[in-house]
Amino acid sequence: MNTNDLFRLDEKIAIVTGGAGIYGVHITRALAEMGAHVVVASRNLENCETVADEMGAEGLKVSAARLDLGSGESITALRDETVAEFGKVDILFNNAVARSGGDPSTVTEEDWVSAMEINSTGFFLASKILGEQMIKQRSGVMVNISSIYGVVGPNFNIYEGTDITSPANYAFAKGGMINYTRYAASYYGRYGIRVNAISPGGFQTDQPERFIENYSKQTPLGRLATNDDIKGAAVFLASDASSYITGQNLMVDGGWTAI
Amino acid sequence: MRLKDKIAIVTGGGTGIGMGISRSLAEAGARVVIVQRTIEKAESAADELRAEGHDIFPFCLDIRSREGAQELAQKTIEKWGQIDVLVNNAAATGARYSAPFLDFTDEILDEIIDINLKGTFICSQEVGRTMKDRGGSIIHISSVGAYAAQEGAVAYCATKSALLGLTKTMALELAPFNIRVNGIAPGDIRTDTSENVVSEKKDRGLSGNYTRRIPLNRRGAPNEVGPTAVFLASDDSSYITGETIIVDGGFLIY
Repeated sequence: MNTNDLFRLDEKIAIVTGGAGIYGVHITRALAEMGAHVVVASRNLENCETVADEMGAEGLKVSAARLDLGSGESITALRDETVAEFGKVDILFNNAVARSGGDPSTVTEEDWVSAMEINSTGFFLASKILGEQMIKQRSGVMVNISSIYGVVGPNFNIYEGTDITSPANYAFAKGGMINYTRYAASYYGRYGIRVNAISPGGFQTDQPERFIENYSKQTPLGRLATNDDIKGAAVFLASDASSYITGQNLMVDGGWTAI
Repeated sequence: MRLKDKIAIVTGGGTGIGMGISRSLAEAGARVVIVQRTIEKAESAADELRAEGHDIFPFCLDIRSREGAQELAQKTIEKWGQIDVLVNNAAATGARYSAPFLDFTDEILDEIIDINLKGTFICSQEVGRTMKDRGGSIIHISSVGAYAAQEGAVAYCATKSALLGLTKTMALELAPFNIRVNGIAPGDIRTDTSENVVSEKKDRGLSGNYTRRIPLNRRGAPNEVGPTAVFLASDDSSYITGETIIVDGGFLIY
């Protein structure tokens, strides 16, 4: 196959959990622009429908679905409905994340448990339940959205003078996600299913200016990630361009972890 | 066409994994300088890719030569005006460079370091200087041997690990010039020099026992590394620098 075609996703069916969120919309757009039909799934169906309508109006193939990652039944229903409509699931992006709770001085037991229900149990069940369909197909790709904070500890200095911090449970969940990526790659490899992770650095949204300055200074490329930065990595790992890559955690961090 | 109007140099770009990289970059729209130590290999690779419709410039160079690397940069710019992508793929591999650690000779040790580390360093410097004003992408081809032991390949593994450090520090220092520096670490890829790895090891008095099952359950093809080079060479990887992507079918997971 020609190299340019290896990056295409025509005829592919993709599910992006949290597909209406800050990373999710860019992942969804990237996959759809390369020809995939993307099912945007999250607890807030209305947000998913807005994304689906907007991108649909541009001619992209995007649909919305309700998904509660706190419920195995909800995940199973999403799988069964997707297979009923499209006949298969080629690509799963485990992108949804619960960010509840702060650092150890403020995080409560309830915060921790509710975050883990989504970030740990929900993530695992989505992989398991959609994985069952991929095993039947003897093909599929899973991409798990982790973080630099799944690889290195946070530098708390960059949060000084701001009202934001890096949540304790985020480090736990994202680190666990990366090693589960290796486990899953090893387990699902025999079925021709590839499993990889992407670990983005800070993504510029509406953070305090002080934080953006501090963060940029600590990054070789001198800035946070913006809209397009995640798109190429998402397409690369979802497509046949990465046909011999599995169990890998791809850093998309402007060099944050290189220094 | 991710690399339309881009000029790429691939050292060792006429054989094995390097040839796969040259073809992928060319298919993605780049014009490619294929560097080989022997001109015949560079020219036969160039002929093959030209027949597929690509624009190729074969170049004869021993990457250990500072003057040669300068000439490579200069001649490429004379011909095509700029250099956007450098893939440092040339390396000392194969039976000549394999021996048990305790028997390793100075001669072979020097040769491996001079080619794998110093040659990569020199080419990156000479080409990097030409990229300062307009940015670029430099890609070092490392190996799974940078991360995991390979029997009989002690100097090879040490130099491939060295490329991880080279990648990170070059990424830091060249970021202000908008030059991104990354690596690719291929695993067990089927090439002419890697065809009979186990039997060759036994012939040289090594055990050949330490082979692993690859999770994807197959060896990689040379054309499965090239698309990763295209990704790292293009704006698709705009926020990726200092990273080495492992292309190994899961070989290193265990």
